[in-house]
Amino acid sequence: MWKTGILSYEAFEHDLLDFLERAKKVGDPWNLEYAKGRRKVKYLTKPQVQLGLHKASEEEADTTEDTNWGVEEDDDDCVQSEHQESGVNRVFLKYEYHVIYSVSYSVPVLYFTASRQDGKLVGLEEVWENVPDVYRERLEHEKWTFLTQQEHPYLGVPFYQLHPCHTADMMKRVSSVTEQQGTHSSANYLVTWLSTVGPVVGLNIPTGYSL
Amino acid sequence: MVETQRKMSEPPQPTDSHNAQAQKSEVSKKSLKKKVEVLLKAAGDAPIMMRKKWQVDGSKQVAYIIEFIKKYIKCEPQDSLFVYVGQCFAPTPDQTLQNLYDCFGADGKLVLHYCKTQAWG
Repeated sequence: MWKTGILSYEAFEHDLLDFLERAKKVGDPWNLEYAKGRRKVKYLTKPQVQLGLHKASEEEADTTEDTNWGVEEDDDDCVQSEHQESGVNRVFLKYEYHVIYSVSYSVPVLYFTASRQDGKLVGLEEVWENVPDVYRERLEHEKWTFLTQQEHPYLGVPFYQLHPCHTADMMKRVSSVTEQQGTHSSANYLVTWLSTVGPVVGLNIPTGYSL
Repeated sequence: MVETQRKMSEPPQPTDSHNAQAQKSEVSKKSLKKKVEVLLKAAGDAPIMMRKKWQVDGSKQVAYIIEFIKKYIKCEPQDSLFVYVGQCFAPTPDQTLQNLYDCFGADGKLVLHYCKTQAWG
């Protein structure tokens, strides 16, 4: 399939529609949007509310840094963790994920934005804090390159972008899995790519996408 | 060198893929601690593993397998390792192996492809 790791816009559109079909089956609320302008460029959006971490007070927080950064979906303890002893609060964050095709890189790019309940945007520091523990050690090595805040290509508002410059390289390596298995037809670029990079910013792709 | 790498805190039990072993795993399926037979395959230019078949506790998560492979093939800290099942799907790190086996297992084993990349994003 994508042996070179890159994708034409036509192939992107094909996989995008297939992805939407799968999302419908799984019950994942992905929406199809069109960019304004002459060419009706398609892209995907998904709203999601999840528990995030928020430092109660920035002065105190320095002492407690390493202890309480957890995965965001601990439903069990969301009630009592309103205020944890460590000075780390759990707050609801409203995420919005966009999957947009990048003409320059010839790969899809994950954009997202996060805001609090009062509408205030979540800063870069806090986005880093919400990275699940399993990726933390790894990302310390390139804190500054994996996320970039930049203008949304269609909406013109600031969004975080998961940097696309290594996507093609990663997908090229992964494509050998489909070759080994001979499952070329049913593999979907978007499913493979999003399930790989999404969880780092809280976007999980349920197993149902691949069944 | 490989021998020393095997000594992890909780090393998965070796399998000989003989009949006796298969029967044994049938029996152990009934007990609480279910073992899952995992077959690890390298994808891309990731180094292959000397031993590919492992018996792993089904309640272990994908993150555990990722850490295990990283140690085994001696990943640099700046390398990322991803694991894929089925049609090129990367399960979330908190997914349990038993779950994955139920969804993607075939012929009594779960095939996991692992892929190493140097950069994120």
